[in-house]
Amino acid sequence: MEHSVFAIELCMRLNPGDDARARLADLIALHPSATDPGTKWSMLDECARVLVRQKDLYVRGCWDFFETDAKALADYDMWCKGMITREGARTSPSGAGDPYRAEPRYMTFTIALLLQKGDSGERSLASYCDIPEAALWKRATFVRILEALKCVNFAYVKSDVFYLIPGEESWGLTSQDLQHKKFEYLRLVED
Amino acid sequence: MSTQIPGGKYQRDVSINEPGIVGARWWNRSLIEYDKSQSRRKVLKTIAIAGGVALFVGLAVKGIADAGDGGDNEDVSLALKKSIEMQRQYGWDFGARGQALVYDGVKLSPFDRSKLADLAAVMLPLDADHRAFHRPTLTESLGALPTATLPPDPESTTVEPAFAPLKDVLVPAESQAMKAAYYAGEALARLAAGRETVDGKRLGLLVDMAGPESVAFAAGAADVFEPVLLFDNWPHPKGVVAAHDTLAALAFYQPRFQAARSNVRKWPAFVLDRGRHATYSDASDRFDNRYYARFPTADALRAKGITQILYVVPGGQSAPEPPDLNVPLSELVTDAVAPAVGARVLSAADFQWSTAPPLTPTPTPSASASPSASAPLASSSSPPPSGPKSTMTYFGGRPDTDATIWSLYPVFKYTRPDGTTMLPSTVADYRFRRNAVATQTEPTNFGVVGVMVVAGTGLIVAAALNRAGSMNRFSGGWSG
Repeated sequence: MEHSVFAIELCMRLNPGDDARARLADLIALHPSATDPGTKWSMLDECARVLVRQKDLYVRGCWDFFETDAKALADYDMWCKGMITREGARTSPSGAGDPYRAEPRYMTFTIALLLQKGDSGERSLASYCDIPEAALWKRATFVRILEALKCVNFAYVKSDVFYLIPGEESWGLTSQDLQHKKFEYLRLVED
Repeated sequence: MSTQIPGGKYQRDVSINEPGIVGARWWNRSLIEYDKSQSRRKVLKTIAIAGGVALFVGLAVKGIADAGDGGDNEDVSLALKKSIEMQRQYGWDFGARGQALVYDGVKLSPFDRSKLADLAAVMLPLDADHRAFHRPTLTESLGALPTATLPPDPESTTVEPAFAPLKDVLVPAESQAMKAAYYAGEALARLAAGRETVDGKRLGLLVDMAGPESVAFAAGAADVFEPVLLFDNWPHPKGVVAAHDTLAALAFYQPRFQAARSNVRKWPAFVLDRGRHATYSDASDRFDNRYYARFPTADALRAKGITQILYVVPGGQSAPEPPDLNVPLSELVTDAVAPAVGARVLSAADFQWSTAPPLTPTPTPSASASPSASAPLASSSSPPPSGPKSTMTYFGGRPDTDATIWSLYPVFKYTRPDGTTMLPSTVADYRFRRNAVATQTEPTNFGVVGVMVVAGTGLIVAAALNRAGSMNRFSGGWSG
């Protein structure tokens, strides 16, 4: 079996009282341990909807689609390690911050899919991800790709990983956190 | 293609729900089944035939079985992973679920098991400077729960036992060697209490004995020296390093450490397990939980005002220091500014019991004196652990040698009393010298475990601790 990989990570402002973070956390934490393609699709669809609603809060982000088998497998493993090693997560609370005094907090949400190459859904996603270089990091591009996730057929998704930083609102990322080298891969979202 | 693959069954293998991150990973079992090779058994047979340590050094057996098996060309590889990462993900007993820990010391009962949940907090240094160096790894293992599960063995006829956290199975334990180490630590604290260092800066201990004895020594010295744990592994039923004995010792002395906690500033006692570099030869049967000590560099110590280290070893035969300590200790000596000595070796075996009374009353520091960087105060008088206490432990085993310790180790401003006898010592004269090949960087084959991975996917399906078990696991893929 040949594979391709799709991944998207968005870094957004985490505003007090905004229930998007809690909703995304529930979508992951409450999803059953044993599940099926239809339920997985609903989860992905709802995650994408929540993220699209947050589009004005995107600050940084990145997305990938690679269809070379070895690259796909290696990249998927890399995205998984981002969760398993808790690489981006804080190890202590950051507090609520003060969004009105330049002390904002941020959250990141990551989706990575290891796809069976050649499936029609995978081919559709590949075509949606064929973006001109000048538009790669546009806000509208992120939205377009999120909306394109509807075409994914989970019968042909070999593995998927979803993760949200932070798990609790008071552990949000700070501006200083995002300056760290480990977040260099996140590009500034352009308008 | 669609008709070849059933609708799909998804199984979550990793789930994390923590304040810092929420995440999960699922695998499509139907696709894995579809994708799996028929040659897994053959791969494992090849591994079993090759066997031994050499196989595990830098090994990634991948696609071995493609010949002669009729077309399948993958699917299982053997990879090396950091042992501690596997334990964090799959549980402290990764690959040996349900197997009992065997203790070196004497198990003591009854005890309040619920208190074990507090051990990590009790051992967290109060001094912020010390906390920066503290490694909570070992104490964190007590309450850690797996975030991932291995797929079931499709051919196993037995049900794997449920995971039990370490705090539910660990038993506090004490040995005779621990008792002796405790009293040696207590004697050192008595001799150091209230003294001022020669350079007005801070003194540290680096206790590097067998794990339980290091813990006991630190417990004995805890009124003057705040323990700073550097244990950086987790226990395992087949562990090369008996970390559970060390943890059992910490549990045994937990009341003592709790009682000694005080906001009065103390000097640090860095605590290590000398067994961390234990040698072993059968990689397939033992779990490599060895580690390199993350002892601070000489510069990092000086930045916290610590200019002198007494390196406490079990006996005169214990020097030279292991390679992970050579660099910082030799640099402390090389760059020491007189009159500070930098680093010296102190043998715990030089502390011996005697029934003779002390030459002078034991110094009792003033509890009202203001704390300073150079003179920690012994303000707590918590009870010692169980054991005879009708004797006194002296440096050199006699009252007249006891008073000479700071002549032999000139870390304090001190004048040797008249009528005392210097102890001829084999280790006090030892000088740390930089070993050109020593490094603080852990070798890549240290603290690693072989795991079976579905080739290319990263999905771990078994530990490679036991060949027979692994053979079974890889014969048939997933079970319903």
